[in-house]
Amino acid sequence: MIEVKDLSKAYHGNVVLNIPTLSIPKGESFGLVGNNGAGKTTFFRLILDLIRPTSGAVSIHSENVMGSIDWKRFTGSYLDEGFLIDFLTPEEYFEFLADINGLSKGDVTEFYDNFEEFFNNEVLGKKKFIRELSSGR
Amino acid sequence: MGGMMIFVGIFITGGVGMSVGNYFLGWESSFFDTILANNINFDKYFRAKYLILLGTAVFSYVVTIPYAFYGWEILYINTMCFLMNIGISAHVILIFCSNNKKRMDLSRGAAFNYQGVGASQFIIMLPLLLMPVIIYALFALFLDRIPAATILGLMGIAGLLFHKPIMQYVVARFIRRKYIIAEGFREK
Repeated sequence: MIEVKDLSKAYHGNVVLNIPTLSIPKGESFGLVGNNGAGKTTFFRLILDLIRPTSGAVSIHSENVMGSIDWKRFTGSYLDEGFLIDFLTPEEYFEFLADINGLSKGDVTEFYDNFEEFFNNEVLGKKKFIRELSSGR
Repeated sequence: MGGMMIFVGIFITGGVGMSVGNYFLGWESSFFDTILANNINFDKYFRAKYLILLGTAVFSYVVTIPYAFYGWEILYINTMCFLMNIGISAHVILIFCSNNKKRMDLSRGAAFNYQGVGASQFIIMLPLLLMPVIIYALFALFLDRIPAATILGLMGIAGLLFHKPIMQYVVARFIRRKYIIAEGFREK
């Protein structure tokens, strides 16, 4: 459950984002559509406590994301290339994330099974660095 | 003469740490958002960085022990400089590494790659190298060489005793500055 209250972000006095109130219930798939520069990334960065809001707050499970780290235990995120460690291979990257979240190597292998079709034998075991993979753009 | 020996001693066990220390966060700039958004305990994060500084210092110290061949005094001075490095310099490096907010892209080639390298990175090395020499020189005015070097060692031990509160300060300072650092790292 993500709750947003009076959230705003301004750069040098220009307000780029202003959300009086928004609530995303548990179990919901939530999509956000907008033009370039509409503030989508800004909003997601505010949710993840990557930038400081000018006013207001975001809370995940009624915990303010600013000043607490407990929400990081159950929050997975990916916004842009800034989330990839591009000099690792995909396996090394997954193992790094698993290690941070206290999962074993076996858990990771099990996790791969769900994505066999998606990976299509092109991602795992190829000794390719993430930066060498096609970005799909 | 004594000052020179201190300078060399500081450089031997602290040189590596001083040159890598400034880039501790810069190296991670291209994936810094992952570090902030994931479940990473910042106390452990900086503890790991301290262990790098400690490890390189211990390694260099052990490797240079045979310098005792040229006199026990050299080994003693090196030991005192080693304590100074792990007790004071390492902590200073960790405090100031969160001043660095210049992006560095490790995936680009290394040759002639000076991104993220600026004058401020070298300026921080100077006091770390010179302060021990100056402190030593001041005490050497009215003390013998060995006791003057001992003062440096005692300062280092004092720094080690305050390791916990210093690390708490390092982490608190980082958390205060993380938005500024992250913003700097996002600028390509």
